[in-house]
Amino acid sequence: MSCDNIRDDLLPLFYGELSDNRSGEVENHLAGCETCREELESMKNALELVRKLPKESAPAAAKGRAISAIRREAGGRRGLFLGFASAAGIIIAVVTVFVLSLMGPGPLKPITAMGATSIVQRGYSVTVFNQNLAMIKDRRDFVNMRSGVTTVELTGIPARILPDSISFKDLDDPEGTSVLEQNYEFDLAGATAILDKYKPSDPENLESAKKITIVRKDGSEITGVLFYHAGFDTWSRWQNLPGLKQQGGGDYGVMEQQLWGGQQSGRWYPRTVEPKVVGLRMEDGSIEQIRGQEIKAVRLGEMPENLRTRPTLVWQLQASKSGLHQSEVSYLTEGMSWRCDYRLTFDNSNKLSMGGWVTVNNYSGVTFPDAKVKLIAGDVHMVPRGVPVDMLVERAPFEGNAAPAMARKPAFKEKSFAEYHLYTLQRKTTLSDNEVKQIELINKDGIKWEKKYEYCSQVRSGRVQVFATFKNFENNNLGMPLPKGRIRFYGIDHTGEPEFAGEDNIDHTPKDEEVKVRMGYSFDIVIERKIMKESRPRSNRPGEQEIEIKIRNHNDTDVTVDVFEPWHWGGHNGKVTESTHEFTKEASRMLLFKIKIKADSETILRYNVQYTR
Amino acid sequence: VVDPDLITRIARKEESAFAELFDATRERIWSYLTHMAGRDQAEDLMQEVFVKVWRFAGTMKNPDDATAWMFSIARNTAKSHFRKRSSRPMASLNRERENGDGALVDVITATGDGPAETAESSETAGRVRAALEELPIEQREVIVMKEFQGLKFDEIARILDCPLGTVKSRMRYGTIKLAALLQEVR
Repeated sequence: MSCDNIRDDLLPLFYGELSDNRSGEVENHLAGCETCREELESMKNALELVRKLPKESAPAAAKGRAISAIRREAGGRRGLFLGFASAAGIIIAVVTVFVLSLMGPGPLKPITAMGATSIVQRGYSVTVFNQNLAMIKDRRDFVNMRSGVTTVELTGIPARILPDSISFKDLDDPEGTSVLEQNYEFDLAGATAILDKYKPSDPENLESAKKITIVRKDGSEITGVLFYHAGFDTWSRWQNLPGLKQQGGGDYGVMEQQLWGGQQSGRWYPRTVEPKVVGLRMEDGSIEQIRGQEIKAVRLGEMPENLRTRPTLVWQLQASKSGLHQSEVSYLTEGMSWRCDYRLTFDNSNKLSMGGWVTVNNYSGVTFPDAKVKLIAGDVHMVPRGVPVDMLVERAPFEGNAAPAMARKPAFKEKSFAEYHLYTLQRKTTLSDNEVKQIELINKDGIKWEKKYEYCSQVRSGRVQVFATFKNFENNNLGMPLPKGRIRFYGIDHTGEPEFAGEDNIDHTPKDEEVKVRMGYSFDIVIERKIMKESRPRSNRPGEQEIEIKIRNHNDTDVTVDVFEPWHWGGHNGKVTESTHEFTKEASRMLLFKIKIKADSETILRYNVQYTR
Repeated sequence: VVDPDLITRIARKEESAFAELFDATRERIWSYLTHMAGRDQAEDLMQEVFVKVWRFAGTMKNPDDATAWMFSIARNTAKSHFRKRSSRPMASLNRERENGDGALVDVITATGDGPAETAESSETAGRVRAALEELPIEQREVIVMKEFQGLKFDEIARILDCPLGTVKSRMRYGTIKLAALLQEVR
């Protein structure tokens, strides 16, 4: 039997996947054929190396991601996957990663504050900027406010708030109410913060102190009264900031502003601090010191009081009237951003359909239930924190619940606002913490478009680029400002399925402008550019360049390629003396040839340029 | 091997079945995707694969082919990823590309040294990986399915929907090429 009949079965033999009969045949052949033996040997060696590749496990989070993905599939999907959505205004993707119950807002129920004044959260208005920033307007009612000075605590505040941007407006008594002092407390339940609360108030009187149990890494346990502990002190970063006053007793996370509208440029980066060393007083009065590295766990009896489990604003409010005070608290927070994703679907016709989704990210640390959402498109100039946004964002009063959006009503209403475009979501929505939410922005069909082919010898690839162009005009079914974002193209293939065909970014595009997006390189149009002749200009004679460009079109339709040619040579004056094709001057140093190439044929562009000094 | 019952239950939208299937197949799908599309992409693709399983479980025709069915989803997902690589030349949009494996091969070349590769602790592993990447995609695919997924040749043929002989010869050519590329490693 010849080797040809055997070769493909060498590996199946190796894997033991041949029938007994066939195995016998192949083995017999191998016994007598050195070539095949060698081939099998070398293949086995190669596969051996492949087999030794270190195995990498799938990431642990993958399962959780997949399950949340299918849950949101079940949620409100209509033909959607990675941007294939059609239902208007449907929230198409909600990825909830981990919402710490600790950080949850619990805002819509009264929060009892000190002095019997309670605070009711009435609603949020969230304006999200492109650049990791959002302006929150937070409506709160202060019920039973007493006249005089009251201390109130506001929770439901994002962990990534910029404390220096907070502003307060009393809607009922703007003149008579003011904030005397504000503390932003982020004394979160880190290990050190908890231990602090366990320190005996009077070191001499240990009877009153609670006991804690420390579990060592070796498994042994030790129980005693916390005598001392030491960790890193986050305060040190703040000590020398102007306008900041340290307050006694507030360790590890109190930033204080003496008055309203402080201008500190410093930021708050709370971090939990692990203790480096812990000292316990045992019952016999001896002290046991345990180093941080040895500690596996600390067991506490119960959660100490006054430990904040979420960021809190503590205010000293001065009010001249008692009773109900409706107010608006506004502030900036980081950790929120939005962007736009577009999907252009085209088939063989000259019309395409365009869908656009807004993706809003909320990593601010708090959930905004039933919020009015506005998005600002345009790159906002960022000046020192605390000043600009109040001027920038329109001061819309809070309205009652808006009527639910009609089914086909566009989800976002766009309106021009200063140098930016402001999109307002027509209905309220909940922006949960750690959530990526997608909301439809536009969904238009029948947009006329053209494919453009361009070649420029200065672009390195040396290939023909394909662009899609369409007019963002109202008579082209568009005519709305398109916020910057990513455009993905999908071509409908012969089975009617959309296939991905490239992507590009667009910048903020006002209406009545042409949109031009790069789809990629053409596969079927091939260009060869050669310099046939070249001589430098001298003082006594002009220089010359002869360029030949061969363009082959392997498409089955005619195409026009825009060929951009530079024609400058070290500052010499150039003049085209001969050309096989017409051209226009595109810029002072660029020629544009519009070359038509018939289907499956070649066109040669040849031109001469004379350069004089 | 994928339990066809799981797919039937997933078609009824039972989340527990989905979780079971995920656990049973995650490593194989993961290694397939990492070898076909690279570590960076695999995570997103993996999610895409399982969402498609969830969505299309009801369309599976032959329960005996549950494994093949699932792998063809993984395969099509990885394939569509190749089309998405924007820096690659784009194939003609007007032409049918469904059978365009040949055309696709020209498109995919070795991806060179990404950060993941440079961080490769073992130089050999890096070279083996690079050599695998140099193989034409249909040969690489057969090797990956054989070596990392442990599939039999006839299963691979069902997944790829091509004759058994083709699978064997792809495997052979791929391995010979691999051996040549890895000659100096040994």
